[in-house]
Amino acid sequence: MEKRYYETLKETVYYQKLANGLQVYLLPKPEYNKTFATFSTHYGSVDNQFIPLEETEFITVPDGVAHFLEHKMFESPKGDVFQDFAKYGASANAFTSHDVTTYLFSCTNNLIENLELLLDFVQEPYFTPENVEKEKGIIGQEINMYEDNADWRIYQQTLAQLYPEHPVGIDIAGTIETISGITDETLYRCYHTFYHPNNMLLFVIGNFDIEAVSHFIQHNQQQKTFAEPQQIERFEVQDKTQPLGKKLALTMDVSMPKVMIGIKNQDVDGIHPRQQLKNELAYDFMLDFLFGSSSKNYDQLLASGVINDSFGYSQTNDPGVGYTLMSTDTEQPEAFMEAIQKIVTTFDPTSIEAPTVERFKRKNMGQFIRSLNSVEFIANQFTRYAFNGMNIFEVIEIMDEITKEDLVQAFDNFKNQDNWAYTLITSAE
Amino acid sequence: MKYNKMTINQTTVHLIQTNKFKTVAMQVRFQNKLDQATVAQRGLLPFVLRSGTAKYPSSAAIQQQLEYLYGASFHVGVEKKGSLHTQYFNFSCVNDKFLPAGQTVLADVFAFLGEVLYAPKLTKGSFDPQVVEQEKRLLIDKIRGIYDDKLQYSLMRLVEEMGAGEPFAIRAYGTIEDVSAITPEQLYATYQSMLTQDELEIYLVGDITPEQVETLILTHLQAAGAEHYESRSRSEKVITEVKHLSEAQAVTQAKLILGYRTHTYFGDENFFALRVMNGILGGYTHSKLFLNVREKASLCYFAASRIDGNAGIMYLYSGLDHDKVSDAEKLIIEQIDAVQAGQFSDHDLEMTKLAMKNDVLEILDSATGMMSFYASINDMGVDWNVEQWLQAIDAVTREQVITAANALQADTTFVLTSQEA
Repeated sequence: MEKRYYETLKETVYYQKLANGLQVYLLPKPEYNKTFATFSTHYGSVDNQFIPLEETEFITVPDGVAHFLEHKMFESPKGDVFQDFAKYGASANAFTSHDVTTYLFSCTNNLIENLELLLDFVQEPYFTPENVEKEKGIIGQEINMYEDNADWRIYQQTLAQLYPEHPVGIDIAGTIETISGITDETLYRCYHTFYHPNNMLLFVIGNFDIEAVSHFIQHNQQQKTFAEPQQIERFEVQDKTQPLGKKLALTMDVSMPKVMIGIKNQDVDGIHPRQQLKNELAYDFMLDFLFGSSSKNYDQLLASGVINDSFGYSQTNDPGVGYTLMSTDTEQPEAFMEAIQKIVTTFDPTSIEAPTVERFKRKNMGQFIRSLNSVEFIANQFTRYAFNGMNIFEVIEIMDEITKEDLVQAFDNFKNQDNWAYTLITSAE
Repeated sequence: MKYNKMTINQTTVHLIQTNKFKTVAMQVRFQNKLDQATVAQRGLLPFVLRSGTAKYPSSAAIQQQLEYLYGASFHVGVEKKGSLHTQYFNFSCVNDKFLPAGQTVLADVFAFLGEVLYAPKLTKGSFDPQVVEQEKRLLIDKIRGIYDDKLQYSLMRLVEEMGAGEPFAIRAYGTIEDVSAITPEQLYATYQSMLTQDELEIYLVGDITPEQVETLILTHLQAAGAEHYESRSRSEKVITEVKHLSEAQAVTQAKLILGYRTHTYFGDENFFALRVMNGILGGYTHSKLFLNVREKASLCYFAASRIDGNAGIMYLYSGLDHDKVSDAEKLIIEQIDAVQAGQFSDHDLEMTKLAMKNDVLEILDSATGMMSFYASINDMGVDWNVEQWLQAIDAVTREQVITAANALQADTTFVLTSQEA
């Protein structure tokens, strides 16, 4: 295996790409009790149009398939996979995002047995018309649970406004209606296309013996046969629509109105992965500068009563999809929107001072090092970044390169209010 | 990992030395008796202290200093445990060993903590009325916000009804009315009382030495006011009939919560048996609730149980279609009946013990987990190491599990639904 040591973080990562295309990363943490393993495919809810393996035409699959597939993987011909993990004292789980599906377990014992379970259950699909039907009741309740979650709905609706033509605007789980059209055959076609080892990444972090684990993984994979690795043909949607400040209002039973501003970043295509990571960091710095809890703006928003502790912002900059979200619970949603607009229109980016940028570097560097206490954070973030050709352990080095000019550039993308949309949730009455 | 319990300056200090983390984590706890009359003021106080000091007079100035200290995190709040009410001040900072050469933050973090605790921003000898008003609004909004999380809200309603008149029904932050009524002067008196009447306890986790800790505490912190308050409290309530409550809201999914008395408390001889029983019933994905209510009957996405060892309570909860609530309730009660009748295999028992042991070892992989583990050990009044905790799980027998299940007593059921009763 190839060994990479990261001096500032004092972490060593071992890497190998197997003959079947599977990328394997091992990160030993001998001080920990547990080992955490994730087995991920670069496949999520946005992959709804593609050419299935060994076919020639694009197909469109029902919304919610990737997530449905994730649920159904936990059934094997022998029964319930959770039970198998429980037998070895491990807890297993899975999650589906817009572009990644991850299966995982953590354990403090029987690592090889648990790893074998993980690799085998994800690589042995078992779908029948009956078990697919039965799952619709369970996922239906999961969808209903999110229906009642105002924070989830405002997030979902804002994305839908920013991306009317891109599948990122569609709920990951689909709707009760769309999942009703899913069959065992749909699941198998998606499975065979996207669960090829060449499209997957295994990350193991924790207390284990490198040699033994590496040997076991290779051995396990050599026992199985897969089709020749192929480039997956995904239909790449380009959604350059402008939301033009439109507003969507929903009613739900909430204690106080909720408002979210979505800001689309149109400049997200064809950027080198390293530059993209740098852009993402610069965006964070810029947002901290404008709205962070250490800013004057934040103090004023609090003092004027238009925000409370629920106020927050986040940004995503992936290939083809980029957006910033800002939200709060407030009795004055209109005043909140106006206040944010005003901050942006009157902001003079040349007022950013170098010492402030340095302070943000210290803050972000420290927060990143703190987050490395979590093996879950490392595995999940490493995987997400790796699928996009980036390396999370380079963050500190890239952070150090950020200058005032990068913040000004980020603000330039951010300020055009034609790329803004608003979502409101109020209670009926 | 090495656990040290020390008394420095009348303060109980729990230092867990470990090189597992790249950080030093600290929890500073001011504790007193849980009392309905003081919860709101004690709940507000940490937020007011966090919003300005003499040296860092605004919230922005405080945040800037934290950013400068390599993004040290600083969280405050209150929590309750049995008959105790705790105001906590939590810090986490990068261990100096991982900072660029020549940089240090730990001593600065302690100095900052001292500043927050002992040198608040004052106007005319009391807290700034504007700051107090702002923090009152934020706390009230936080209390109101519980309504938006329908599961949390339903659990809170169950606790209120089930525990009426008992300490565990008191809300850690009090009620909106209590918070609204607070004046800066009252709050300042509460602050004085915190310094002079509370027990002070500090947990620290990281790669630091007892000598370092002693120096930092003696340099930056003052002596505690009181020695020790007991956290255990037992319910004397006699339950004669099961209360059934329901509330209508415009929700897509109904929530069903069942509250049981366990008659078993933290530190009791059969407490571990109760925990194993809870694991077999509803703690895991191999448990009866998950297997039968979710997987077999497809009624829900989640069905689980959990226990509160300080209050002697078990909660069972699920989210369902409105017209499936009574089917689910019946099915959930059948699962309890099954455990009471001993209808679980040795394999079920073993899987649950394995999962519980795994949980403990995994908890010890996080700094806050280490703190809560040693807090539990101290609450139980024992002097155990990890191995002894694992042995206590292993020692639980099938008969003890059945006994714990049969001690369960149904108390209250709460349903949140869109249907009018």
